[in-house]
Amino acid sequence: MSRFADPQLIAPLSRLALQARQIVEGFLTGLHKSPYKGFSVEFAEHRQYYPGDEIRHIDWRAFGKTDRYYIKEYEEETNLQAWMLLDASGSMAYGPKFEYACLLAACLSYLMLHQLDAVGLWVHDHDVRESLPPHAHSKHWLRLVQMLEAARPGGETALAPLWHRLAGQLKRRSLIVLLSDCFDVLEDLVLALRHFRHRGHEVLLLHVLAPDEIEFPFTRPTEFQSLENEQKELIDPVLIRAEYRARFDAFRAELRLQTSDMKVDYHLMRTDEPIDRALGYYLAKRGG
Amino acid sequence: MFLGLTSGWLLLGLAGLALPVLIHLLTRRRHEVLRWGAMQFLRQPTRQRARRSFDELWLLLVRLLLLALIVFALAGPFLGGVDGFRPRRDVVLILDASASMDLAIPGQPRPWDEAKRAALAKLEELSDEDRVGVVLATHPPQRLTPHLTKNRAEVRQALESLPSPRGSADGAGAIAEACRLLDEDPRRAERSLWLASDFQHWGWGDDDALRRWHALAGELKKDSGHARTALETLALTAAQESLGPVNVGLSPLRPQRSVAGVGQKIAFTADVILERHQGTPTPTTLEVSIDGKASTKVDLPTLKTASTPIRFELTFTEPGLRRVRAAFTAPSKYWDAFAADNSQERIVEVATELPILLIDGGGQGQGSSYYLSKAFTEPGDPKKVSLVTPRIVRVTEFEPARDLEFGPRVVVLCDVPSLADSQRQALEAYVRAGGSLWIYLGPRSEANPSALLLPGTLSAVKGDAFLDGDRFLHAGLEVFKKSALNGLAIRKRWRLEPEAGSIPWALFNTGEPWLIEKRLGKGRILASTIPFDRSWDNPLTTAWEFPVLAHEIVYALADLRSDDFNVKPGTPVRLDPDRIPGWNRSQKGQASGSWQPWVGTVRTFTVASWPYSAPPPGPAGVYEIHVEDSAPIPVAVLADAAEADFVYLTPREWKTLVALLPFSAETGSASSDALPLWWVVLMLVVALLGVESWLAGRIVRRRGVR
Repeated sequence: MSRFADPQLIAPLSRLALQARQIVEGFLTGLHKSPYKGFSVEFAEHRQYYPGDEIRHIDWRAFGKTDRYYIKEYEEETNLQAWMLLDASGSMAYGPKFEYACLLAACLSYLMLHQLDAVGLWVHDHDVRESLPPHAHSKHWLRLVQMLEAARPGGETALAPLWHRLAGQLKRRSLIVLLSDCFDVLEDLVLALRHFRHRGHEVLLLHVLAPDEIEFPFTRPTEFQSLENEQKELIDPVLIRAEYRARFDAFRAELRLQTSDMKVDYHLMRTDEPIDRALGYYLAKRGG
Repeated sequence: MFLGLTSGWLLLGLAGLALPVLIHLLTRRRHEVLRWGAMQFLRQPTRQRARRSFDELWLLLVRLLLLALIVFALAGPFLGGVDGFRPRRDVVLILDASASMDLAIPGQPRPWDEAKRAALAKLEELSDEDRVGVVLATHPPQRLTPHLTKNRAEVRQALESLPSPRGSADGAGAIAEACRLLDEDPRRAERSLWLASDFQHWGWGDDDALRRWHALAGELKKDSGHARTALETLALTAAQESLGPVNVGLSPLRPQRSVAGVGQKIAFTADVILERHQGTPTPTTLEVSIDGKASTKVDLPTLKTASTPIRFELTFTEPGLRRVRAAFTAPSKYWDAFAADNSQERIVEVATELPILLIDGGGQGQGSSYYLSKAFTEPGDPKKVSLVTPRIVRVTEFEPARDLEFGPRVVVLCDVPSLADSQRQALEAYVRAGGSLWIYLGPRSEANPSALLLPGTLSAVKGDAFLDGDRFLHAGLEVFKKSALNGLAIRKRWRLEPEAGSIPWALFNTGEPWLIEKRLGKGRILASTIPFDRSWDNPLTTAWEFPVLAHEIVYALADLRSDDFNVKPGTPVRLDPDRIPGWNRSQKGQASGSWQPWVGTVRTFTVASWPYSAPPPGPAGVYEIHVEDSAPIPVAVLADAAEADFVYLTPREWKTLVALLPFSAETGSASSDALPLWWVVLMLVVALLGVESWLAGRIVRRRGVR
């Protein structure tokens, strides 16, 4: 069984509905009923007629040729396309951050597919490592989960250039879900986010952080080795804790302020907080 | 100037400096490694990082320096080689100058010479800034230098010119005197006593000496400053290792009595002591002199036993206090290892009269004092005039203020029934002040005459007994042992139960005393249980020896005054104008006096009131005390016969004695020539501890509260 297909974890989320705050393509599914009620105009396959099926879905042409009743099925079609950008850079390897982000992506994608939205996935560090175009089909979620399972964090972080590039590639306005610790130059990040917004994308920034990164609780002299390169710092954490926290808090505050200004939804996701509660809190807020 | 270490090997402890360095290195390697993502927030400000490492480096250096200084202090650093930096010391040299130090054993140096030589060598070790004093451990102790002095040449000269030792030792007293000498001036960091002695038991470890040791220990422990005083001893043990010295000596002179009239003879006895005689020549003649003038020569018998008694008589022609000296004539060949006891001296009082007061008990007719008075005024030999001049007063008319004013040498209560309270009190005061009271009892005496100050209690009038010549115990009665008094029957007598401490002079054949003495204050009371008149048909007065007996008893009682002029070592000299022959009784005002001690300069004293206790004049010998214009008063300090015992303290006994004292060391003083620097180093350590504490605190404060 897939580690992300935990029905106990995913099922509670299905009660919540994702409510788009801004219309990307004009409407949202979920709270708004689909006019096609599960049947879109895009043909998917034929299947044998069973008693109880609506007669209007019988393919009379096929009946004429085969003298049998076939039901013509169509893929559902939605107006919301979501892209999840999962940061798989080295810095995400600290603690359970990456696993947490993957689980978060799985849950969100499941929720989105449940909402009959199309969801795609980019796994990247300074470049795109894996890509899965968005689809709304339920089987798509399994491929997405397989991709998440195969992903491993590593490599250097260069979020801003990549996001700039991706922003340019997206033709259709989408919901961009960013799953990252955002350890990059703040100004560049802001510019990249602004690029997304400039292209009309709705951006949801889920700032995934480990508690240690926020609180910096270390007491013993420690050599901090970079997860992304050869950089090392031998530091007495006690000496720099206050300054670290100040700098870190300032970074987050500035990020929150900048994202707020450009109407990017920012949310801090601590790895010590349960995902269901965090998503529930987030979705409830979205719903409000 | 040079820097030295008393325990340089302790510098090996500097290897301990590696410890904090190792700890530092180990601590550096024990930091944790953490793979971290948020590197961009870790950048330490260069200034803070530099300051922190700077502080830690300082802390490490301070701790290293602390350790190094502690090791250095333990190694005992000192600064030497420059006079200005040498510690200033106070040193008192104590030389045992008792006669036993003058022991001369063939082939061995005299302890006295050794002691002087060692003292001079010790003197040479001192610097110009050191102060030195010398105390002679005689009895009483004597300062050779009045105060501590830097003038070593003066001290050297005084040591070199010291005469032969004499008398006995007072070891504890000498140490006490040395401590007083040290305490007279502001204390210096280094104080030490240096003591050279033969540590003879007598003077250093006898019963009296032990009492003085304990008293000294108690006194010294009151002052904690003495704990830093070092005591170094030099035991001159040459004599102790020998079998003992050959010694011929003369015991102290025993005069028949110490008071005589002009022209009277006094018999002297003594013993010639012969110890470990090995056939060497012995003295053959004893030369006797009076006031330095040869008086007589006594041919000595062949000395064969350990003690040979000798006797000689002297006749004095001049009144006053006469100095009698008896000494062996020295043979040409060496024969005696110990010369100090080859002569003896004594002061004898030659009086022109001995005034006495007879207090008549009353009765009809001649009165109870009649026969005594007659014995003094009409002695048996008409050619001789009695020295004793009696005054007579009836007891009912006796007024002490008036009748004692003339200063009677003896007061006689002649069969006095009782005394009024005022009379009794006056007589008791007279005795306590040094007077002699003679009470003869008779039929008038009451059964229990408590007012009479008797040396016992009267129990009953008893019957027949006779005087027993063999039981004439007092030296003054010796001449009567074979006289008619021996066996004289006494029909009636009082029976007296003697008090504890009373001294019988003569006993009946029954063993009961008929002459018995008790001491009271400085005087004494003699009681006679038979009357000295003819009551009770007493036959005593009929004997032709009766006047002689009366005189001898008065002489013996008057003899008490001689104790003022023949004193034991270390005893103050009592100067009482009423008791000094030849003094005008009006000489009672303030006066100043002086005497030439054995060594050193003339000692002076001021008399504020009489009688006056002058300080002990010195060790055994005769001293002349001058009081203003009066004739000099000779005082003989009698020699201790035990000084010739030659029994010495063992090292263990000496160690036990020294352990009583609070001094820092028994031997081996800390008198180095260098200035100890450990206290300077310790001050640096304390200062560095403060710096270390401040630095550590600063680092902790920077780390903040966790």
